[in-house]
Amino acid sequence: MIEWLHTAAGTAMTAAFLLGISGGLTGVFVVSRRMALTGDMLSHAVLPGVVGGILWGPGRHPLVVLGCAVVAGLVAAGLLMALMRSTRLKSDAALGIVLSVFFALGLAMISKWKPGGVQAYLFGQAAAISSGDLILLACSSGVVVLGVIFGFRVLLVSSFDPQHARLLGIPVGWVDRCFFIALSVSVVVAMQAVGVVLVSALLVTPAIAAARMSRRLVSQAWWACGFGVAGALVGVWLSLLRPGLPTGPLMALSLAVLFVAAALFGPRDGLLQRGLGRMRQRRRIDTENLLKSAWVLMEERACSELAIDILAERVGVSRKGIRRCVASLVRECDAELVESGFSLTPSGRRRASEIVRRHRLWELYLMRRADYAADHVHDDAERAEHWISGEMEQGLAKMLNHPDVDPHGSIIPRGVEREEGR
Amino acid sequence: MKEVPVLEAHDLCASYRRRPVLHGVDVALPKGVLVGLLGPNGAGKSSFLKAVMGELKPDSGWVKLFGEPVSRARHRVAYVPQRESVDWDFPVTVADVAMMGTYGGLAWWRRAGAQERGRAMEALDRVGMASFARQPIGELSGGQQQRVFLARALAQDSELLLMDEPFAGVDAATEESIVDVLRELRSAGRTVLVVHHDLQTARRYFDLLMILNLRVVAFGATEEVLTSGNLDAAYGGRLTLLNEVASRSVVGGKM
Repeated sequence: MIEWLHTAAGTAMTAAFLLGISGGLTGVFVVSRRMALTGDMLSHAVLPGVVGGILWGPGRHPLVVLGCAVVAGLVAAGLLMALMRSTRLKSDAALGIVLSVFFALGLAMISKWKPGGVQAYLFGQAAAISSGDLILLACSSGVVVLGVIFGFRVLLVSSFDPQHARLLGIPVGWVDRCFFIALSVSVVVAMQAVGVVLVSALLVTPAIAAARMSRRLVSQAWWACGFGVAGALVGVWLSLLRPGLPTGPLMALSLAVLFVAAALFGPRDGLLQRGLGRMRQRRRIDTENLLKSAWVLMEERACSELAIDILAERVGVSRKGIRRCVASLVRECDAELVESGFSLTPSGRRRASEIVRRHRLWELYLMRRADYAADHVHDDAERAEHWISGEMEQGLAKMLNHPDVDPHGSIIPRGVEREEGR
Repeated sequence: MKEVPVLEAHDLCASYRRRPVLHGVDVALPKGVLVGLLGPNGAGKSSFLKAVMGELKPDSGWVKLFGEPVSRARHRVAYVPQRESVDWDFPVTVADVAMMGTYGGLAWWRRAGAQERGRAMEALDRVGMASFARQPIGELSGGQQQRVFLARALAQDSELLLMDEPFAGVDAATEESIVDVLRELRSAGRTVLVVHHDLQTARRYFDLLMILNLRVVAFGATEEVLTSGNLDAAYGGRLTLLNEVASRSVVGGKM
């Protein structure tokens, strides 16, 4: 086990695991506090600190680099606050300025003094992670995990409603500062593996994927840890498959794939679920329209059976389409196939008359209550008839004094309850 | 001995972004009353609540809670925020929010136990939201959202409750049920200060009224305060001279 840790693969895997945990945990708070841009700003703003740390201590001591980077991050945060307070700049603009100024400073320092090993921080290089880095990473991840476990309540209240938190006696300012330091540390250690630009991937992607899985911060934190670790490990594993494949970008891409999966299949408003819902709705509306047309045709012709051809001509849909629709009506026991075509069962007739009733009630309502002209109400009613509930229908009927005839002189079919009540 | 006022402001002046929002506010609230805080938009009603909670530092004058400075007594205050100031997308449930009311007496590293949960559920029950406990707050109606925050304040069990426009966007039935809870609080000796808009209902709901428009226009028993003269003075526009002088002193003082 210890020996495996010292192999390149072992180091990279362990680092990925730890990064996934700390990135996921801090990320959940970053996203719910709407600080995603701040995370991005931090990853750029710590660069002068990183360069300074490398230049200062010989041999790139990880703790010195981390310390200098965190100081740079805090200075940037202080500047940001001062800028927003004194100039009333919106936070996104202020973030943009601070980010670019600090990053420019870092780049200038790099080209002037050319420190060794800075490449790893700029572009990310999981292979360059030393055992010293790994120990530091383990410690920082441990602190983040313990901090979130024990301080969860305090963090939750301060993030959700700082005013309320202060009334409870929570020193919100200090909580925010501690969170910011923890975030800076997470960002700096993640930079080594994935580089400046991709730090956001480790912070934000697991958290937004987790938000698709749950609507409680506690369980989102668990999910984000899981996604973070899974994405980071898969990234490392992929990069080990072929020589020359970069670790950081592959981590970011694997995490993005996880997010897409969560967005598609997640229980919370998944796209797949939404698409299915929309399809079912469209099918219901098609069926209701067909039922209605059939009912009206039967009313006009005073017959109880209808040929598919006649209906197809009336509705303007292909015969094949009508046949498919009728087949689904038969499955739902609303229609029966007969020799000349099909007929409606009692339940089908009731369903159809309901829709016609809603259509005609709505037309009447639009004319009497909303001052629509008689020739303008049909199209609106075509849409509305599918969305009027039984309760609304009763309300409409009552408001219109239980009318019998619609604006075009057609009879409004009686509602089910009233029919049975007599 | 005279009873110590629950809330006392003396010659309170405050400004926000170099604009005066409160000027020379003098007021003292006794224990066990429902107080309505009225005034036109931008009259400084929310700012007054902020000053009471210590969120807005006074330029001059002072606020005392239970005879003590705000910083030492604000844990005895509960607050129901304006609906717009809450992030309704934040991933918490109704029960989570009610639980937040119980965190005041709990050491920061301790986990909330059965006692805290019991208090939170009891508070939700009092506002009729117990059956929504597991729902995310973003999915509630306006009235339900307001009741959840009232439950948080009830769970907090504070002596002074501040509410910022709790009846905005709330249906009449919910409004009545909230007022019922406030009356229960009053009989338990609590003081409630409510930012309110409707003059008609203000007459029925509150024992005392405070009409604010930069300064205190009127303060006292509801019937005495609701005179046409007072309302004209409050809603007939800000007093231009006072406003201008206050503006200059704020800007000048911070140069």
